[in-house]
Amino acid sequence: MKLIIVENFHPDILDYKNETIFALNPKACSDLDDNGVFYNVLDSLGSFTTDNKFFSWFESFIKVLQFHHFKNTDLVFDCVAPLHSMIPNFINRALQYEALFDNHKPEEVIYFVSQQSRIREITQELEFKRMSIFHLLYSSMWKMENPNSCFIRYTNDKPYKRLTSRFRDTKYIRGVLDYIRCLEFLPKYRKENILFVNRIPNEIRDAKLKGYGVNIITPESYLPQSSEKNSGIHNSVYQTIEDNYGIPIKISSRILDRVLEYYVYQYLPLVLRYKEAYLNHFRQVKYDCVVFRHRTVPYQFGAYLATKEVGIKTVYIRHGWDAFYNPITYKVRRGVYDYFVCPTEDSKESLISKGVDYEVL
Amino acid sequence: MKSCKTLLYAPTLYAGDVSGFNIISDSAYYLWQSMLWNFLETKKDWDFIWKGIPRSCHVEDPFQNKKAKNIRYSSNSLKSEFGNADKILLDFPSTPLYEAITAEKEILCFSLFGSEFIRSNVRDRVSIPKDPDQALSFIDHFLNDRYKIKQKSKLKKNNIDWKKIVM
Repeated sequence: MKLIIVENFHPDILDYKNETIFALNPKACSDLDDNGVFYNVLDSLGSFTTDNKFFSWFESFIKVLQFHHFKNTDLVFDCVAPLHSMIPNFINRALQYEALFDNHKPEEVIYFVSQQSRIREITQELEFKRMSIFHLLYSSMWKMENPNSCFIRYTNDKPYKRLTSRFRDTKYIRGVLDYIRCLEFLPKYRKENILFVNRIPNEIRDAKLKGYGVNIITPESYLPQSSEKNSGIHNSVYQTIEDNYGIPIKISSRILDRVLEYYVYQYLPLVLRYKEAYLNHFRQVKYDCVVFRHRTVPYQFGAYLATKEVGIKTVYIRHGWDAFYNPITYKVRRGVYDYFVCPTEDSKESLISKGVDYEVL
Repeated sequence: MKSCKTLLYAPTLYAGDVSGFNIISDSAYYLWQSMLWNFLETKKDWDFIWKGIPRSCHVEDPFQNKKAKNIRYSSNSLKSEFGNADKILLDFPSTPLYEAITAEKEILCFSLFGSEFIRSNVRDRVSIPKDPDQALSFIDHFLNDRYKIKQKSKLKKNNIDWKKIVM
């Protein structure tokens, strides 16, 4: 049988209408619907969700990675954001990949994907933003082992132009709500010295114009590349995935090696250099507290580590509605900041029950 | 002159390969949104604003180029559409719910996914339909003013002395 996998639509797919077709994303589903093509979705094979069992396993996974590469420090845990996305998504796709090919045992596979996805940038790959995990699995597993019956058809579609304004994301939701709260926050601190780690463009400028003592360190202060020697990822990291989810080490290592090596040998050393830069800064300027809006990129992790080392109080300004309980998010946010600024009364109950100081603004 | 009432619908993000909290399957959410689009299209006495998914989402919005007489796809900010809406519909309790509360409009928020992870104090404000058909009947009731609105959330300003943070 032929198996047609559609990541991007192409009119030639209509020639395979009677074959087994799997759509990999909502746009592919939509295009196939519009063309009257019957298709399956990967979730029909089963779907992995991040449940409590996953969260407790994930903590042990972090410990294994830390133990073998950072000698039991909490560095990986403190900078866990990239892994927090990467690992559950990999597990989900790897399980679906195995189910798809085990169930169908295709004689021939044609994979339709956009030319755009061939561009591989490691900084984006850390979160699989460019080449999909399924494309990586197909290219480096099935296609490699069955070269004569596997084909990739690149579609020449134009880059996707999103209509939604960038204004909404960066300046509105995440900015204005925080902006209001920052402006309420700043007057209380007129005589104090605050460091805002994240950029909050207009309000920082406004605050400075009004004479408040606000300093920011921007991420543009580029630091040199790491000279760390890459000695690979320890096998036990992949072993724990196999032990818990049955995904063979061969698959995990082929897909995750590149991104985990980048994380361990480039990304985290960069964090540590940012940490040094912040420590130097803290020797010159004394702060009363350091304010975070999020902690997801190297300079923010570096600032966090330096702040903790020096013992400066930390404040976290949370945007949006914290409606869902996620144990990892709890530990990396609520477990580490000294004070929370939360947006609604609804957010505070979970803080009170955990003994976290908070303010509703 | 405006003749129909308007409902503003704000979706959540598709997860793609980058979400760290996999509780919504993209394909299931797409199927639900398709059902919703077809349902809204039949409500000729209402106008609908279908808010595009935020730019930060890495997955293409499959509804970006869809057309219907009574549905307008909006690429504007959510808040800028509040003034154009009589009611607000949300199918996931995320940031748009927090924003929508500030609009002081009637809100229907439900969740077809991940209800076991919704915090107990938020669950009171979120309806949990047992399947998509029941979700559509909630919406039908909401449009016809027969849906009992849950307790309204208010943003509350209650300052305390910030200096205690650094003491």
